[in-house]
Formats: sequence, C-alpha cells, structure tokens
Amino acid sequence: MPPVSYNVSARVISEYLEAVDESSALYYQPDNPQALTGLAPPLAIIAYTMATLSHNIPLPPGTIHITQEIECLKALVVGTRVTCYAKVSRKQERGNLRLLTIDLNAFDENQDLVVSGKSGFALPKPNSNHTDRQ
Amino acid sequence: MTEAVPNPQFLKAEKGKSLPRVIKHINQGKIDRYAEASGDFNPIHVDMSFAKKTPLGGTIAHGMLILAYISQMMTTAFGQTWLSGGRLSVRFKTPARPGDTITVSGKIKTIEPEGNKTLVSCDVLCQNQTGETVIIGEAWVRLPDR
Repeated sequence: MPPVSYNVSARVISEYLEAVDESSALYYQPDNPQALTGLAPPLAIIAYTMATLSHNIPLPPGTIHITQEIECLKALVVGTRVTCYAKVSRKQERGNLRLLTIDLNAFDENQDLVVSGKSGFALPKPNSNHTDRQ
Repeated sequence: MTEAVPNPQFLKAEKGKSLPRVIKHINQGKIDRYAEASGDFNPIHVDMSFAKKTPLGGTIAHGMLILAYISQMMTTAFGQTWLSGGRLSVRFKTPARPGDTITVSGKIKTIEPEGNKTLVSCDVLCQNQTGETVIIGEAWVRLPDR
C-alpha cells in the first residue's frame, strides 16, 4: 500500500481531543484549558491512518474490528508531519470469516518510529450474514 | 484534568493496585463527533437507517473511540511515560451503542525490571452498564527506574 502523509495540526488534535472527551493536562495547558501543550495523543495517529487507509482498502459491509495492538514509542508533537506505512501482514480463513491483519507504522520527519499498530478485522465471506465493523 | 507527569501513586506501582476508573456515557452526538474528527464515516456508526438493517439493529460506537478511553485511564495513571513507552493489546468483544455507559477499569498485574526501567503490565477492561465486556486486554508501560 502506498504510504500516507499528513500534518498533525493543532486543529486536527483539538477536534480529536474534543471528540474523545479528553481534558488531560498532558494535552491542555493548565492555566489556559483552551490552549494545547503541543503533545498529540498516539491513538489519534492510528485512528487517522486507519480512516485514510479505508479509502485505499475498502472493507466490505459485515467487517468487524476484532483486535488492536498499539505501541507508543515517541511522544508526538503537534505540527509534525507524519508518514504512515501499512501492509497486510496476515490473511486467514476460519469458518465463514476471513481474518485480515493490517500492520501500521507511523514515522516523524526524523524517520523515527513514533507509533505502531496492528489491526485485526474479520471479513464475512460473500453471502454470509455478519455484523459490520466497529 | 489528569497530571502531566506520572501520578506519584503509580510511580510506586504495586501489584494488584487498581487504575483510576474512567466512566463515559455514549450518545449518537459523540459518535458523530468522533466520525468527523477521525474521518471514519462507516455508516454502521453514523447512518441509523443503514445500521437498522444490519444484524446489529442500530448504530454502534467506533472501537477506536472506546479505546481512547483506555488511553485516557493510562495517561491519568502514568502521565507522559504512556506516550513514549506505552503498549496496548485488546480484543473488541461487544459493540458500545448510543445510550450505553462505559466503565473503563484496570489493575496492575506484574512489575518487572527491564534494563534501567520498570515494566508494568496491567489488565484493562471496558464494560457497559449491564456488565458486558466491550473491550478486554492488557497494557504495558515502561516507567523510569524507581
């Protein structure tokens, strides 16, 4: 899959923090709760990357997000340009389901790995009747 | 607000100690806001008429939204060390739906030296208001040597 690059902007992080009800002093200045400290939550990177990749890898209706692994390796700073690489690391079949594992790695401008993840999905086989992904 | 530095209580990590609970109420507005923020507009989350026709019978929250609440619990306990030395491995068991109240809890399972740091592993759990498991898994964090 081609890599995906985007800027971790203050607007993007503000919207993410608001959406997940996060008010930690890690992310907001204690003396000005509207102002960001400059740190970005690592799960935001995984979430954006997955959403962006979903345009490249359309998962069929009935797909379920079943597992997630995340490793935070370096605190990410707002304003960083992140480049994410993804690959399908595993394909399996089990009963009526096809299991798909996608590995994600996000690097900053210094080529340092900042966050990595492994997302597991269960995809229905054609004509099977299953629920949609989370 | 949580602390920007590891909560001193958790720098003295003890096996069996509970992590600070996080409780969140889920509604469609929060799910829609998360879709806007993350760019994930899968109709199972945001389109009621589509979701009603699926076996789930209605919209469900993004798994990554609920996972963010686990991350919140970990930052409350361990501060910035979570951002540069945290690891999480979970399974999504049951979807969270609008109207659900999600309780995130955790407990320190093991504490082991790892080089010049201390590796703390925790069991983590998200349950809905009926006690059903929404997410279950394990989290690890590397703390500065004690």
